[in-house]
Amino acid sequence: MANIRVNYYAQLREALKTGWEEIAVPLPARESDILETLARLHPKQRDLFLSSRVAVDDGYVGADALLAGITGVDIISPISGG
Amino acid sequence: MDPAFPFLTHTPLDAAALRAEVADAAAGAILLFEGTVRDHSEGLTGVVALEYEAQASMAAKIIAAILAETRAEIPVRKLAVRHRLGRVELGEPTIIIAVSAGHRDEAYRASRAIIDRIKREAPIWKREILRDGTSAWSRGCIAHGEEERNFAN
Repeated sequence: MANIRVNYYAQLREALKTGWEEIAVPLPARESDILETLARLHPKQRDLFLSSRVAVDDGYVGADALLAGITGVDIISPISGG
Repeated sequence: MDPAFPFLTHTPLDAAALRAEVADAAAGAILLFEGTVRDHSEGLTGVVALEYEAQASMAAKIIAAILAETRAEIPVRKLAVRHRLGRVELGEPTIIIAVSAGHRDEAYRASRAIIDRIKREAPIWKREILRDGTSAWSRGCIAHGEEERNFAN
C-alpha cells in the first residue's frame, strides 16, 4: 500500500468539503482502481467518481496505464469549459 | 492573464486585443469566436451568470497542446485563446478564440477544432448561477484525452 494525495475540484471538492485528502492505495494501480477505491470511501459520490478521470503531473492517465511511484493524483470530474 | 497559466484569466475578455494578437499581413481571414453566457441551460432558466474554475496548470498545458496540434494539422497564420475564470455575467464572453489564416476555410476549421477540443479535454468547470440566488454545477461531460506514459518505471 502507498499513501497518495488526492486533489479535488469543483463539484467533488464541494461535495466532499475538502480540496484534498490522503488515501492508501495498492500500487501499481490503474485509473479504474483508484476511482473504485475513492467510490468505496465516499459512496454518496460514487456516480461522480465513476464518471471522472485521473490525472498525474497535469496529464490524463490512460485507462490501461499502470500507476506506480506516484505521490498524488488529480480527480477530474465531468468538465464544462468553453 | 497570469503568466504562470497562459490562456486563463479572471479579467473580462477583450476581443479587440485578441484580434490584434493574430493580425498578420499574410492573412486573408481573421475569425473571432466568442462563447457567451446565455440565460438558460439544460432544464434551467433564469441563468444570470456563470462561475468558472480550473485545474489551471493542467488546463494551460492542454490548451497549449491543442493549439500546437491544430497548427500542425491546419495551415493557419496565428492563434490566440483566452478562457475566463471566476464569475462571468450574462451576455459576457467566457472564451474567445482568434484565428488568422490565408483563407476562411482554414480559419473556420481551426476555430471549430479548438473549441471542440477545449470543451472535451480542458479541466475547467462552470457553476450556473440563477436569478433566485441558487446555483448548480453544470453536468458537463467526461473528460477525454490521455498521454502515452508509462508510470510503472
